[in-house]
Amino acid sequence: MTLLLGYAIKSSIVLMVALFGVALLRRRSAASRHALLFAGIVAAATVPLLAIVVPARTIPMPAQVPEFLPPDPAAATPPATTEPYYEVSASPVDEVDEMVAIPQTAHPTDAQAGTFSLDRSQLLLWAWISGVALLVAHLLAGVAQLVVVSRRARVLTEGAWVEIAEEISRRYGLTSRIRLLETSQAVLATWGVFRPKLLVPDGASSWPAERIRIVLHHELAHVRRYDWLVQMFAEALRAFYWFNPLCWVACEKLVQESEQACDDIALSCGIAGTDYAQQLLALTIALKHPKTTLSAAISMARPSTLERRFNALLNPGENRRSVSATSLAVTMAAALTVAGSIASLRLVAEPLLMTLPQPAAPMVPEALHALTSALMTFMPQVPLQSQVPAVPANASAPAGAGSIEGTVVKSGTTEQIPGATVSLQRIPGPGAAVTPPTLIQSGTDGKFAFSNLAPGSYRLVALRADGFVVAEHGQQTFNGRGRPVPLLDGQRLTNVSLAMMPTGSIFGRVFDRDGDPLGRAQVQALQATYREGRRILKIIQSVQTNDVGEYRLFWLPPGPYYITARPEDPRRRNVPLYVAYPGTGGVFEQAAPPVLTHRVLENGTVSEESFVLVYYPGTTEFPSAAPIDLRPGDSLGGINFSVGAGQVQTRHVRGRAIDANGQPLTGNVLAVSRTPHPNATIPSATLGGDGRFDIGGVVPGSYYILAGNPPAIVPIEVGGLDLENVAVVSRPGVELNGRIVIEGKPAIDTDPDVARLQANCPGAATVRCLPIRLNLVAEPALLGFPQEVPAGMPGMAQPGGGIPNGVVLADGMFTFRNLSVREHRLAFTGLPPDWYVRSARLGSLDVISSLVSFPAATTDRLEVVIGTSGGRIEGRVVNATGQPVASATAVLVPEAPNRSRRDFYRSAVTDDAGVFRFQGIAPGDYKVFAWEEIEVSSWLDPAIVRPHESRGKAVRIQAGTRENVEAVVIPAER
Amino acid sequence: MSTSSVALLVFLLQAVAGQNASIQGRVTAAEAPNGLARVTVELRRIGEADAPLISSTTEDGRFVFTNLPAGQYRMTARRNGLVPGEYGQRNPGSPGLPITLAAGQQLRDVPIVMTPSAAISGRILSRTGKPVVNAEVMAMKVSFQDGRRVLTLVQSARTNDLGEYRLYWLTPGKYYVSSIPWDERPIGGGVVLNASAPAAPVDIARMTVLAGDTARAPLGFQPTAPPSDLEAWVPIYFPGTANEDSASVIELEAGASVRGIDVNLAPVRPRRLRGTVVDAQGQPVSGAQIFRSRTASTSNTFTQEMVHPSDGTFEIRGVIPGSYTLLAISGDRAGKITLDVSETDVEGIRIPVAVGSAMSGRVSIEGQAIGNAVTGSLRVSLRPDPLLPGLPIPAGNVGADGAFMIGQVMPGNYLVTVQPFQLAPPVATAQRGNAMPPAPQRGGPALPPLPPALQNAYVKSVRLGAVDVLNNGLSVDAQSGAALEVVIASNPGRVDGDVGRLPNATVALVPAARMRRPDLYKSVLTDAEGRFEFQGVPPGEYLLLAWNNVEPGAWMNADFLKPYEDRGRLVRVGEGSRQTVTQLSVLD
Repeated sequence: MTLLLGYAIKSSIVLMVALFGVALLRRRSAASRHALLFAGIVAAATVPLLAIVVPARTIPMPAQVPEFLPPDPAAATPPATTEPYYEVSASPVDEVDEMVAIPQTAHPTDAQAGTFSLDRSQLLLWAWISGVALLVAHLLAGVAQLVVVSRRARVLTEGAWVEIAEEISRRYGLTSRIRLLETSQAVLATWGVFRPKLLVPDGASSWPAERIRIVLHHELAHVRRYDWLVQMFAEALRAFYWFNPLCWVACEKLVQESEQACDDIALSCGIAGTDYAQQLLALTIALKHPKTTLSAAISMARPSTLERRFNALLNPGENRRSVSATSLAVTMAAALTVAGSIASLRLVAEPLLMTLPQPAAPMVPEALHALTSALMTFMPQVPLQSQVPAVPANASAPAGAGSIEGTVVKSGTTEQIPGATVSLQRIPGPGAAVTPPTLIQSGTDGKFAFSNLAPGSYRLVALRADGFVVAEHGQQTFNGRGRPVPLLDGQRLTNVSLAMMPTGSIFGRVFDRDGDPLGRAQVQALQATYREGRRILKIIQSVQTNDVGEYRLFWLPPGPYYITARPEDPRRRNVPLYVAYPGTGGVFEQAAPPVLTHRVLENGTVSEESFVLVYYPGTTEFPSAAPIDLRPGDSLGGINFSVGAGQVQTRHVRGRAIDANGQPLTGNVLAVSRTPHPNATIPSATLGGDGRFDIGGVVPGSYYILAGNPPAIVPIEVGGLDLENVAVVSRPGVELNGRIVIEGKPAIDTDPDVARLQANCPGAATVRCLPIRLNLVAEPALLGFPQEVPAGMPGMAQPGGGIPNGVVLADGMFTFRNLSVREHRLAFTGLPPDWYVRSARLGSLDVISSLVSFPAATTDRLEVVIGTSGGRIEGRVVNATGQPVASATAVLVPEAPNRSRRDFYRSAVTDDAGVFRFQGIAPGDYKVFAWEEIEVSSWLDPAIVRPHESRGKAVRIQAGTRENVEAVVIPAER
Repeated sequence: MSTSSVALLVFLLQAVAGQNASIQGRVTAAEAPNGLARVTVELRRIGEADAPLISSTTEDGRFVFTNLPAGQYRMTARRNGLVPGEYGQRNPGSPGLPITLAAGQQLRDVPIVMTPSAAISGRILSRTGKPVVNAEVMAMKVSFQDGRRVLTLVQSARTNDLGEYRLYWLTPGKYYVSSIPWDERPIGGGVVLNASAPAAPVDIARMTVLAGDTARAPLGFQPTAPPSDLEAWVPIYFPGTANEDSASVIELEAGASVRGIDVNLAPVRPRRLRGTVVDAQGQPVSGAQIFRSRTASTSNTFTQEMVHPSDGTFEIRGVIPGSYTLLAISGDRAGKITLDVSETDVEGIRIPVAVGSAMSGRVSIEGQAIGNAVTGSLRVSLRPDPLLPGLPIPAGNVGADGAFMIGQVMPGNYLVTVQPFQLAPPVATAQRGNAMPPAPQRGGPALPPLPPALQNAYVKSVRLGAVDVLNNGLSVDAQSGAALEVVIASNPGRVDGDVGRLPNATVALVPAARMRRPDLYKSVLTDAEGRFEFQGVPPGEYLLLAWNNVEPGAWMNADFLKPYEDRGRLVRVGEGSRQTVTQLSVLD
């Protein structure tokens, strides 16, 4: 039960992050908010799992199962009061409201629990189970009701509904045909996944075509987006976490956003907002007093969401973009990472933001940034301190409280910056509520002062939108890591300096092949960065040229930039501008199908052409691109170039996609470039009935052809000719068995030390498991195809149920089912702090030092040997004069032959005394490097480590030894 | 077989396959007959989803498409700095004509005329003269909706770090420019702008340039001062007014680049409206929604606010001075008030809502008994005048005996319409108010099709007692006992004719006495031979007008029509008559 509560708290945090994220994205499209919410819900659902999968990084593992905090009493309150939309009477939500009331009565009060303290956990368990049972019953009843209503309904086989549905289905690219059912009730609802059904009210067959079109645009958008499935999943999760109001809020919000996203799709198909709004209103009035409500269906005209949707419908500035598979995958991965980091938290001792260690998971810093910025979006609702005498930084501040005073200056100078917004936020202690930050403006002399502060750690940030990067206290460089300001009871901190780095701009003109100015060209500033040890490009800003070809990129932090341009995509109604505030954000990936033109040549033949990205000074090849080094405050003009080189003739790739039995595959086939780029162009085609495909618009280069699920992946090279007869054969997933051996513990299921680690398996309550999880990460990571995640991802249920992939049973056995036949990287999570992976072998193959390519069928077992007495390093980072360096990054790099062992790398951030710690180090030779400033995971790139090789401090680790190391910091380049 | 006979055979085979047709043409500038080089000409086969064929013009503006299958095509031309053109267009931005290509046909000298586009540029500055970064700048144009002049968004752009913007590829014409800080764009309240989708398929110049993806400020940072009771952000129109009625018009000629259209943004001191929604007994009504529209203004905007759920009170912030209609809807109760907002906040507003009264009536058909054939095929609706967004449209279906009953009619002014006779005029896009079908009665079936005899029928009269409410409108006060008498006649007139041989001219039929009768206003485009035809015209006197270039729906606006009063052709349409008007002169 405590475990359940722990999961509840963690999933709450995940949901809260998602909900905050949604608040943060209020100017983004409903589709992206929906995607984020869904990702959040999926992530929340996987928390119990991730809690075991993700290791508890730098915090020593407690000897006993940690005691989780009791739930917030507020968590037991029914959510009806948190959602103002519930106020609308006689709406379909009413039934849900009643359901909310039930758990409240079934939930034991604290007083009851106190009286029967011995049975408290059992009581809670029963309360929970009955709640789940009730809600699941309600959900099933809802689905059953849908089935009954659908059976009784009249199938529409001809007329306007059918014709318009076909037309829109084609437009949306739907493969399954929707069943149109005219019911005898006043309902308008969509449900079903493989055979979607649309229930329309009595008399709908004689509606005006205009309304039918609008309704179908909307409802088929639901079908295309799989909204019903998503909603059912969310409802199921809500049943599981019924006591958590956040789940209810998230579910409701999900409905709202999906409705709005579908409205957006309908509008982007050319329906005028005013028409749409009028029809929606008419529908709502018509359907207001339904005889029955179908709780398990998605209903278009819900009065409770109308107001917001009207505003969104009629606002031409509303962002109506839909979400690509890629960004959905990215969102999902990010949400899982956040969930993973939260799941790994032991909810004891230290404050939330500080317990998250730096580089354990490469995406954590970004996730953390997203989290903090999401938390701080509430800022606009917080009045400025100058207007409110009571400082909300901490209401319970004792008398004689402390203060923080300082100055905002221009980086590298003493020039004061007036009018900067300075934000001070207390980092909450464990279990403490997050307090909103206090904001003040720096004075004309750049000075700021916060008074009446409680002791604690504070995050201090300065912002000014017109040409300065966000600055945080404790940063070594402008994009470096900040450190909290510690404040003792009654302490008066003065002369705190916040140095802001001025941004620069790059401007110029873009011309076409003929030397004429190119209007509406997309111009981007790209910057190189690291992601999971791989060097990639990231989009920092995306703007557009005007009719005279001029562009201006601004708010750019100093650094090298690559400037790219390409003609606009004429299919777009909205231009993809991306202007983030200085020093924040950036886009990792965006993908689009190619824009094809059929150019008539002078000799009368037709050439298929497309435009590829052109880098300044006018090349399509990245290696020939000239980076532009932007110094602080620079304004670099005359960056003019032509996109002429980007006009290339494209080729076709034709072939056939079949499964192992020779049956044709269905669905789509993609050609994904083997060179990753943030602006991917993905040619695709729909597989014909015989599995044949013809992908047009392929620019010569290296690609993977992907089809089927799990995807069959065929590498191809496209040169100067069309590629014919490409055979794509999808093979069924492979099963791989394996065993973990723990050094010195031959019978691991009975060994007392190991047995102590056992816990119930996810997915099988009666089976005991070890906390160790194996993960086979598919390589390369392909756009739109998420990497395989080890265990029971929702929607990727284990065939036949059972223990999820990669979960290690008490006796050390584990299994992977349905692995795709491609290369994988083996990774481990959940290892106790002093343990490490000695070896992993598949037959005679070493599969941990390099990628492992699984054959179509293997009888070999994956044998993993775990060492239990890893070495420890406690070290200090000093500068050239021997002074300790705080906030430096210490990195442990294995020496040959283990350089490729990603699991042997360790990194940590030094504390105020310059101290860092590593543990669980496999015996061997290492070097410790210390960087004042380094991008997370970039040390996995040999090119980064090589120039500093001689500055690494060599250290030899033997089993169970403890070493002390003093490393001299590699200063940041300024 | 000789070589020439092989060639002949190939030629014949190609002709049979219809693959050897071709189109040759030339792109020229509007006022100068010289050819335009490097224009991208796009040829799209109608009804085909394939990517269009693309060709570029040579130095003298010539282009050619060969090996074409027979069919209907549309041909458009694009070049930076020019308004996109289409073959057969009368004016930039107006519809073009399809090209019909027979098998093997060699079309020559097909002309496309293009007009240079115009641009507006300037800077958006703060009160203190600092550049406003990322401000949204909008180019707006007058259009007509339901006879009302409204400003419609044509294009929007964002400012750079210097506060500079440029709106471009604009079709020559009259524009208004307004701006608002990006982060202050109204989403949860304030002014909602109404942008309509562009009419022409490739009309890039009228496309809305909108940001698709923007990041919020880090850490919730607002670049402008936070909103407060003292300040609210509304779009500021050039040269510096929050009131669109006093905005300056910017006249753009072809090829013009108007610079220095600078706007200083400043928040306005907003008024606040506070009040309560009450029922007939004066008790607060909870859960209502309030629609706020500006009356008598070119602004086509409205907002919605929620009424406080428990005590029925509401507070609307950020209201700029002007005349407003507040409409409250709570379930089946509704009510509206109009109010003038001047210099001060308005407190203590009371919007009474009530379930409307019922109104009964009877429909008769001239010369025949109303019978089962039309049962359920007719519906009488009371369309609020003026029609504001959100207003319910009370309606009742006509039964077998011709009787109907309309429930929930609130006091106010209405136009009586009878479906399906009084629907939108042919050019419906600009008159959305008319095109909107009424809200169906709860549980009531939709209208089955009319019997053929009544397909061309029209509403001859509607009377309430002795009052002609068809032409004068219906004024409903609190209690009125009289019944509506509707007469349908089935012998309408017909008007046809030509405007010489000018295709794509807009011909409008306007009632000579400018009545508030949307069904009497009709418009069509002339066909390729310059002919037009109106069917189902109710008898009466009409003015027939034709324009080269006119905003759709403008003829429903009395002010617009005034200068054209005596330039049209007067036609008197009798029952079952046919009027033919030849050589109707086309106005500019």
